[in-house]
Amino acid sequence: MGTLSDYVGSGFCEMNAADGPREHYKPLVARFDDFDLGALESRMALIESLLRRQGITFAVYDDEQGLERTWPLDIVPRLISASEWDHLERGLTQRVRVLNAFLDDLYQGEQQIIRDGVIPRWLIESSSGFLPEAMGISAPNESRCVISGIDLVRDGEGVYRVLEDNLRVPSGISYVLENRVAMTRVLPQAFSRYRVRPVAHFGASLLATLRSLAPAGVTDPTVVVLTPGVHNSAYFEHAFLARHMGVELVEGRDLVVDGRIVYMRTTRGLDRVDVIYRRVGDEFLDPVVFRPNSLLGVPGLMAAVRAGTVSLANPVGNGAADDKGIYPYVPRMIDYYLGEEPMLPNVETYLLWEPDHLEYVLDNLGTLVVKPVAEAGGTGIVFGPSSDHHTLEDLAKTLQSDPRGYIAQEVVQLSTHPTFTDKGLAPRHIDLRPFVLSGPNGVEVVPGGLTRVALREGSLVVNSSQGGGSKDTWVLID
Amino acid sequence: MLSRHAENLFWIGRYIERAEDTARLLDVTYHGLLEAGSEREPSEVWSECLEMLMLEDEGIDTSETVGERLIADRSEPGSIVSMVGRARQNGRTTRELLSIEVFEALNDLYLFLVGRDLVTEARDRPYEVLRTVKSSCQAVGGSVDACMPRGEGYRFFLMGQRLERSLITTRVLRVWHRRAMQLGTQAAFSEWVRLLRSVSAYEAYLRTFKAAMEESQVLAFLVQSPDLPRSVLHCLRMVENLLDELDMGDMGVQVRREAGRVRSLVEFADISRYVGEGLDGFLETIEAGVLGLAESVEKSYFRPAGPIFMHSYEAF
Repeated sequence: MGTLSDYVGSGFCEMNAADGPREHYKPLVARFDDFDLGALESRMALIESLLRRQGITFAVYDDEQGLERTWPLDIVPRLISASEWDHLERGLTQRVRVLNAFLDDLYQGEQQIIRDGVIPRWLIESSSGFLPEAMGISAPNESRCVISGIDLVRDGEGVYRVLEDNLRVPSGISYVLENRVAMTRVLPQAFSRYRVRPVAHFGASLLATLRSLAPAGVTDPTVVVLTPGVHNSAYFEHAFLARHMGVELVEGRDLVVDGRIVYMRTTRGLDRVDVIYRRVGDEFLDPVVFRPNSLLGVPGLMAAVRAGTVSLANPVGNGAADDKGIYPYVPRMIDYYLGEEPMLPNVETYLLWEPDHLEYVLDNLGTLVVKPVAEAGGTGIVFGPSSDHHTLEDLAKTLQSDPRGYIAQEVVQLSTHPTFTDKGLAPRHIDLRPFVLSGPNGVEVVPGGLTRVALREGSLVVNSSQGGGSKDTWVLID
Repeated sequence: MLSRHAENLFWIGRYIERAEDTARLLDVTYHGLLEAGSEREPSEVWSECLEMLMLEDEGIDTSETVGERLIADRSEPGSIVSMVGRARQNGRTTRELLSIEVFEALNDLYLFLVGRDLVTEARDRPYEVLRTVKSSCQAVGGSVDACMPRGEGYRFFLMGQRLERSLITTRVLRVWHRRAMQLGTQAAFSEWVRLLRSVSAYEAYLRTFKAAMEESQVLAFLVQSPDLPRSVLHCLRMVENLLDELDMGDMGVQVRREAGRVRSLVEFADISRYVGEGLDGFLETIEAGVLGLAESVEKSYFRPAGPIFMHSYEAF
């Protein structure tokens, strides 16, 4: 008996069409026929021990207590056909090009998009991610979204939609690379039936992109990764990226600014730094300019950035473009800057400052999902269908008093994928976070991305901080 | 290399060395107690052990469970589990500088300690737990030797390890000798064995001098042997070489001078002169010298002071 050939999906199933497995999944189904559940279980155990031994973990609480969670990787890979990927790649490229253009217009241009009445000024100026401190700071090649993660979902009809843009400090790329390495060790047989686009060159691509941001006149720039430190939940990734690029991983206290130049403290004295890939949030970067009590940043850093002696990736202020209240305007931006139709549609979104939207939302709270505009990682989200009466009543009051602080969306029935569970292979909802680089040669999409899985049956919450898992994502070559 | 990273590696070396030495001393102490039967008061033997580990001022009570606590108690900063936890924490913050084998060795040891009911195991079968700790610490050192490039990171790790080792050997000898002086009689053979085992030198001593325990010979062996990896001289020579290899120009002059001074104090001492009352003072001088040297390493390479740190920052 086959573990995948007997599988029955639910909702929009990534693997099976109405008449059996989709063409590109057929070799995988055949391969899984060689395994019984016991064989899959032992491979799952191998994955867990592999990742655990190498310390591939996340959500570190108190390390001394040994409470890190091993990164959860599922044994069944998610497959994307070449033609499907071609569509996604072009859609993502289009979107990131436009977001770059928008941010450049906003911070360094004439704010033409506001003058032309496409986006209201008050909306931008009321965004917590919009930083007047970033006005006039230039970005080479319009690379504002140097590295971004665009969250995609596939709805009940199988249409890929953009759920949100992450343009500040998106995490997850290290897990894309580690997932691939682990899968080649645990399931080598499956790879032999496919040609899969590689992801291993990412470190080199990122380094080349970061080097291209060097201040004028610096021919051999020193690049560093700036981390908030070992207690940050994404610390593993920060170290991973530094290691894969072969550059120093620094904390704020390792850097010092003198005469508007940034240096790092080494055993041989001070070394000049030219490009900082920072994984510290905007408001913590420089206590002189932003939060004065931040210990994670570097006093004087923004003065150096402004003087043009050092470049930040991503630059400050990108939050203005991934604000969820601005997200509904991205299709209009695509039309405005490129004169094109969006290739990847948004999810239907309601703006609570529009009276008719607000009225609709208040009448239908029980079927909608409500999200705070400036949060990430699934924080503060309320699912109408799974909330009780009191929660919804409180929510209605909040929305009326702070309409700019939230958006409401139709609940997307995410597509499902066969996933190893304690009851065998069963459907679980998934999404996809592809990673996009903006560099000297334009926009480059890393093949695939991070597929996140809602491990709880029926759940639509895929965030790893809330019990989500992951899958290796294979982009196939025809 | 970043000063913070150098400091972390230096301390990984120290913590792992200390964890290994603690395991060895606990093992010897457990066995010493079993062999000595009712001859000695256990709490007295444990206080000696604490003193050898420089934990005498930590207010650790020496009741029955002290051995388990020194292995498994997370609230005890000097316990093996605490030290390994700190070493691994440092390893996580310098992961990109350690080869993957070194990090895995460190992580394996940590997972061995936290992945079980350590308190119970430390009580029921201390020998096995301690043996695993010792061999796992050596696996860390071994993977450093086999896999790390001979750069600053490697050298600072080794420097931390050898400074710590020379301190422990000096301390063990000092505490042991003080007690021998108190007893006033010639130490029993089993006591000599305990001393030599505490620094992993028993077999080496037998091969060199046969089973003849002669005080000045044992002392000279542990302090001045050029071949014994735990002798004070062997460790300090290594530290001196590492400082030379680092080649830090003016920055390193002061530290190298200090290393040379302590090393020659050890190398050229006439140990036979110190047999008896004088030894304690001699060992005390060495101990202070090594501690001072470790402090100078920290000051020179990890926390250099300079006018630049007094800067006032401009906003714009």
